[in-house]
Amino acid sequence: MATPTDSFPSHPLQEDFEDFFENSLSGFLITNAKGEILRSNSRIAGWLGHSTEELKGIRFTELLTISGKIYCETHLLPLLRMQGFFDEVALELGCRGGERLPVLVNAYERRDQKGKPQFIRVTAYKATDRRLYEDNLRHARTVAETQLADEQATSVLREQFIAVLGHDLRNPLGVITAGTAMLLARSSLSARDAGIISLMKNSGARMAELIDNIMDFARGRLGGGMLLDRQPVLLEPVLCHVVAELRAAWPERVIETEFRLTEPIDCDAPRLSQILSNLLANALTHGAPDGPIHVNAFLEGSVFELSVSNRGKPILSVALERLFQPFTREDVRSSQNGLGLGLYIASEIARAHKGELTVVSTEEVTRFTFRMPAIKSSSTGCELFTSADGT
Amino acid sequence: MSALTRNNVVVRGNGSTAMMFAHGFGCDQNMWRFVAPAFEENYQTVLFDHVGAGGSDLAAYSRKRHDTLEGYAEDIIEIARELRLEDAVFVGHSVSAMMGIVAAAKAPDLFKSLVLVGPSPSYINDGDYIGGFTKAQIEELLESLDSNHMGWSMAMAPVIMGNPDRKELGEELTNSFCRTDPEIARHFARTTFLSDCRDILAGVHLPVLILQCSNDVIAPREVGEYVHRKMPGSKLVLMEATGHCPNLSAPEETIAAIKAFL
Repeated sequence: MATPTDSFPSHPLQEDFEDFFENSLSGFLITNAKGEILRSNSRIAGWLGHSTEELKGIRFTELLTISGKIYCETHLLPLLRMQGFFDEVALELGCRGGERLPVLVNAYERRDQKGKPQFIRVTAYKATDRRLYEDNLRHARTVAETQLADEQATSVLREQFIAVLGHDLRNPLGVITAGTAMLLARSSLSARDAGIISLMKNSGARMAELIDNIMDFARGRLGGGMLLDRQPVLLEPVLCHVVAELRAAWPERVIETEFRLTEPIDCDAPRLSQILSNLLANALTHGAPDGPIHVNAFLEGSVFELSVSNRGKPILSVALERLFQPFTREDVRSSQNGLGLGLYIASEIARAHKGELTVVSTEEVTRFTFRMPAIKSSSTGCELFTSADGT
Repeated sequence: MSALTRNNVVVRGNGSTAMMFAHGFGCDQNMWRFVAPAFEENYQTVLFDHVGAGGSDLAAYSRKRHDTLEGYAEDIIEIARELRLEDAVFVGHSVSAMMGIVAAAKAPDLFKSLVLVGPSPSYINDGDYIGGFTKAQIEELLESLDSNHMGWSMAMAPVIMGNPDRKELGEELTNSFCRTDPEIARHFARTTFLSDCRDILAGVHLPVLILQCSNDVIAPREVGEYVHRKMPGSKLVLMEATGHCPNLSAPEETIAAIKAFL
């Protein structure tokens, strides 16, 4: 755009305020209290493609694009009248040739002693690069938002896939489990065949457990939450049943129990069985094969505590930190580990019961402890527990 | 929630008759700071912020309800009902003038007269009707609000409130008046500038005062004259004040015109 005063003047240059005003890098406007231009400098007139003479008497909002005009009339001028100034407002000048010039505008109102506005001073800075920068930022944000939405959609699909897969695996597995049970019921089996079929049955049970874990995980992550069905229950027979199942699967191992549970506890019993089953299966898999496993449960005051201890190599401290996260498994022995969902789900069940699952692991013992406040009231019914990550 | 909290209602003054002042797009009840006090001696003055502006409760903003001027009119009616107003004087600036007309049509017992400051029933030119803007111009306005070119200085709380670690973001915003949530301002602009209330003007049979500024780009003189023609009980006053906000730029003239009407 033309900046007329930058041409070579016919007289020698002199540093004075007049020259400073006319040739400043900023555009200056002085208006009366109504906003009508009294004087403008050559800089802003040059930007607009007018002479300073042509700008006289024009309401300064007329220099703006249509949206700037509306913004000015409804917001900026009121602001100027109320607080006496406005700063750093991004506007566009509508120039003579139809092009637009992004500017940043500051303005203030000069008032007399009674507070009556006398005139307004306006300073405008060219802001083309800044506008470009802002546009780029906005563009980058739009791109990021689109990508995030895509990722979220993919992630939902993936979790739905897991849920469907888990569900569909149950049916064929059910047939296998039922088949092995029917075979075992036959009396004509050789001891060797009966042993093989027992192994198949136990593996089937383990697979069923893994599938349950996958389903729980997918549900928890999908926002369905963990549905608790709390009832007052005498827990001892429930826990004994879980221990008996695992004893049957691991006949060569020693599992010692100590229960002090004389009163019913308000809880979701199948879910607590799941905690014990997961912890016990872990202890059997990772614990020293020759060491006994201890299962202790007691109700003391208002606290219910269930712990499973085993001997063997301690869990590495790096692994301890992530133990209750999903898909955590010790790489060295991954073949034995399954999906790494068991402890995650156990801790989620604990959280749903407003309790917690903790672990201590030393050279002597590795002990997982589930502790929850025992509410002895007979309140029953379902409560929905939503996973803490808000998904 | 009480409409009085929701809309940050401030009641002052003495008198058996109430005067309710409604601000327009782009500002808040501060808009009336030079005008309303002049009526406190003889009237009970009621000032408020539209939801989304000033000290209103942003949580009460509803994309659905506040998608039409009718929704805003409902807010006005609720405030009036809660204050048990009857036969009050409604003073509405800019888009609020139309909200007042909608409210008066819906609840005829509330207002005995209307003062419309810079009213416009429709901003877009349409055949013989001159609204002041072409459709393309209004679209440009809405687009520029969407891309938030001007939002930097209109921006207030929500982004900042969501950043408790960065309080300095809030302190940097020096403008303390007329703050608007930028998202809401965008939607409000759409509701305002795309509204068309031409059909309902004739349905209100109250004494009406129209204050028309000279040189108002938002509501030009033709628009004021149109409103005057369509409302049989109306009186049109052409003001010397320029621009769109005589309540700020020419409070004395505004007060005098309203007093003469009352």
